[in-house]
Amino acid sequence: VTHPTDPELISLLQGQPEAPDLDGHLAACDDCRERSTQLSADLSAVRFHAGFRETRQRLAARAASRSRRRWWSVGGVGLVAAAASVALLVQPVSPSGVRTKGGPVVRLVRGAGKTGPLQVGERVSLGLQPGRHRYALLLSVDTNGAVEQVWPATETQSGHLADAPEIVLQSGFDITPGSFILHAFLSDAPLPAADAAEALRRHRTNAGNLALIPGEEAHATVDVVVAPER
Amino acid sequence: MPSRTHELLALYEVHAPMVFRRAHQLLGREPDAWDVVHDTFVVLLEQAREFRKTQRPVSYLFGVTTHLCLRRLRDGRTEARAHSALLLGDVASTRSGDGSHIAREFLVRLARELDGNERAMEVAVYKYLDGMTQDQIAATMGVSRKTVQRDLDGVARLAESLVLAAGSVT
Repeated sequence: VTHPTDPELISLLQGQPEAPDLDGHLAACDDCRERSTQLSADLSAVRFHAGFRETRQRLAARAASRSRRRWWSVGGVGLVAAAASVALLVQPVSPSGVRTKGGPVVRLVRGAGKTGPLQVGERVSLGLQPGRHRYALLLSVDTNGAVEQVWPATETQSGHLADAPEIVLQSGFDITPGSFILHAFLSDAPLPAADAAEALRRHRTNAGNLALIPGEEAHATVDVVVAPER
Repeated sequence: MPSRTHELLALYEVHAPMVFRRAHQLLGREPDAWDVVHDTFVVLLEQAREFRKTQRPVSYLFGVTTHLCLRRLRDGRTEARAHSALLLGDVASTRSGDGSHIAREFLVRLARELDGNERAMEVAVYKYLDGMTQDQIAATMGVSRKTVQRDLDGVARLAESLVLAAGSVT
């Protein structure tokens, strides 16, 4: 007999069972009926924790704050194999600034029929051709030097890439005022996001060429120029 | 149309208790668990489209929570590291059924060395802490049963090598 998992039992308590015939199983299984009763009591008690209210407030503030950021994600931030798309700017460069033939490419992807300068409010996405590399870290640097991690948005290191010639961010992004440069750090093993961000900050301070960080195998950038608001 | 914040808070009302319960189970300290609740819903904010598509929202959030807890332990951002090691040791010593070949030392070591074994650690936790079947683990993690089997095989091999290493010392 396969007993339901905790999340499956909880889904039943919420009235949206995630496995077939959970009711039938509970009717016949004393242990799982007892687990379900205990789960129900545990979950009800959590709502009375001070942390429940405090965390909801933190979250509301965070959600409101993020909606004002440049890289507001409108959907998932996973990377998927690319569908047909239109590239606006394609400028793969090596760390020395020399265009690398056949190397990794990061590009901005616009909606069909979109041409001309990027407009504030326009929805775009990002495409990445990683070459032979299996890990990527995407960061942006705006004209004030502010560094922001774009993908993976909530990880502390590079994300693993699907095995595909080109992958795109599942989500779109709303363009906000201000141009920026997007950097892709490609590698064969995860890189710490903090190291990449620090390298970009140092590069801005010291000028000169952007050197590869330890473990980085290749680098690509794209300049994203946003038309001034009228 | 409700705002994104409104939608997120509505999901919070429904799912936060489950997320907290899971985080507290793995981390052992309430402040750490509430931090993970917050982080889990931030992930939800980022992965809204993927979440809307899932047919198993509770399992999806359970998986995100587990992942964030284990990463927190790996990164040493919580005092719960020792708790986790103890917890996993308890699991190894009390679940003597099909997990008997998993040495206590191995789980403790894995808890301390999550860097290279993050997915394997998740699989091990689902298997030996939650008692899930391979199919249930695959559904919760959104990976194939074959992947789960492979990770469990890797866990078993590592356990065996640790046991052999311990034997050679003594």
